[in-house]
Amino acid sequence: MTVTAHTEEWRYLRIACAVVALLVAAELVGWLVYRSRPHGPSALEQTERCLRREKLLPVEPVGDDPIASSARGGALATRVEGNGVHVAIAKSDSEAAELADTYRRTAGRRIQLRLEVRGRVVYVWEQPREPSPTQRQTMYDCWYE
Amino acid sequence: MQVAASRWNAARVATWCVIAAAAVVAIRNATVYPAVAGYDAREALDYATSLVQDGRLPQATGSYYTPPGFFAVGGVGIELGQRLGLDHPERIGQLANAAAAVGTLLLLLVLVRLLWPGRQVLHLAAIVFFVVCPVVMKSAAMFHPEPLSMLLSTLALVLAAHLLVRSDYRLRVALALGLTLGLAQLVRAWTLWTVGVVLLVLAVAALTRPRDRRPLVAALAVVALVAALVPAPWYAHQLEHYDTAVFGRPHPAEPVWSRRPLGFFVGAGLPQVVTKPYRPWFADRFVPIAYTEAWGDYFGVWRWLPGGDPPSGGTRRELVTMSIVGLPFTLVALAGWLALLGFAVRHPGRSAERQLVALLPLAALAGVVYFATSYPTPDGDTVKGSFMLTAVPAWAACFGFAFDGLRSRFHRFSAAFVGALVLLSLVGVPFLFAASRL
Repeated sequence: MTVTAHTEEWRYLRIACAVVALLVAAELVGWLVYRSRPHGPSALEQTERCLRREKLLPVEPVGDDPIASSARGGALATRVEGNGVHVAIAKSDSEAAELADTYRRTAGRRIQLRLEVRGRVVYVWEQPREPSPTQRQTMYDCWYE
Repeated sequence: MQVAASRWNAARVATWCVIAAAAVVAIRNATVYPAVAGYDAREALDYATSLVQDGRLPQATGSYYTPPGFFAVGGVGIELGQRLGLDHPERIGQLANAAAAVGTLLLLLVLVRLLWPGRQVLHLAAIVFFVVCPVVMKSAAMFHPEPLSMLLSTLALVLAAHLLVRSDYRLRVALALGLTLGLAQLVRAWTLWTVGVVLLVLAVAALTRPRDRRPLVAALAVVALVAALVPAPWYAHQLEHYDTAVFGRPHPAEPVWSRRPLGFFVGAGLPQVVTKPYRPWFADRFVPIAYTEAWGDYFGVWRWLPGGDPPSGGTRRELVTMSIVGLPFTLVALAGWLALLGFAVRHPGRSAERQLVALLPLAALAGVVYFATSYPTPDGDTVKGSFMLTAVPAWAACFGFAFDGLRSRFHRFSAAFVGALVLLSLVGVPFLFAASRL
């Protein structure tokens, strides 16, 4: 490769690298601005809307469940095919794990069958057995985090 | 001088080692990957079986809009596999795809040698990019038309580059190029952008090379004629049965520019593009879906299956790792592409053959964006990374060009550049191995 060809290539490559750096910076700034402003419905609102409108299920506050009530993303209660379920939405994976641990410490190992963590969402079912596949799928269809 | 020569030789040896290793992995993957897990696998298997066994094209069902080229090959493979008593006769078609990917790798080496002769590190970097980018190995393990269309598209680039670099305007070269472009259209409609790019570059060369104008115009005419005649029966069949010759599926009635919001085109899907690079995240964003499907497994065909729980534990860590590994590769390739594009625009008469790799990613990107906009789906299904598979060799060449340019400019850090390339590649290698069960 000649020195001239190399210098000419470098001129274009340098500009291209600057353009790529600008694009990356613009994406990062855009993301920071976007996340700093409230936008769109929350995961709790989306879950509630999905359960009411698409699954036609009743949605209520969790009432006397202080663990679910402490979830930073909010909580709600509903009933699927006769089986009640509390849905606690955490703000992070570690918070979801903490919520599940708190349930286990409070209710003991028996809760394991009724307790499930999916991403940042914690489900606690009412009936003392595993939820049926259709009950579980209904909640998965309305899974937002 | 001797040190430089030995480095060149080392790069050449490394290039061939990478090609050999990639061939072993591709063939191994084709023998273990479950064909039914691949993209549109059921439709592809049905198409191939009915085409060869019953001599029928699908009628408005399955992949009826896809040309029959690969399915004819795959169908014969299934027939052969059945006669050989294989448990999975479709493996022959998968092996054919593995061979197509390895063939493309060899053609890529020929292409970069034609475009940048003697730059061994550039050649090595391009080969490494092509091998490490998971969309290649994923597609090569499947029973799907994409790898064959990539092979033919790359062969067309090599022939066009040969014609321009060597000023070889003989009739048989033009005929071979036209035939390759025609056959490519009989495999996948995505190769139409290769046809467009090759014809455009030949036309630009004819305009900017006054001495060679007559033979170039003659070659261009032959290429265009043959490339149109070979797939003509297929297009005629499609027009006879459906609304259009290329993709006769209904789309929303609203104008194409209002079918997707602005965020679809500009959103990067941060931070989930790195932290959660899988479905259903950022399903309404073009760039992060294309990126994570090319560098990972967004749709769940390689490491996990959609429909159940989202990826967790080791699988999730692997996907996150690949999202990080892909970033420097993508940014350097992007820089190389922009540099080549800028050079092509400013100096259309110089190094016309390099315009082939500068224009193909642009055409592929425009085509996929148009397709994803024309046929909006809520789950991002029309933004598969494999749709741009034919452009991966060109992206690899762009990466090699930028990598070698940066390495040459910052010569003192040359070892660091090469070390980073080796390290990133090694981190990505485990992901290239297909799982036998998902």
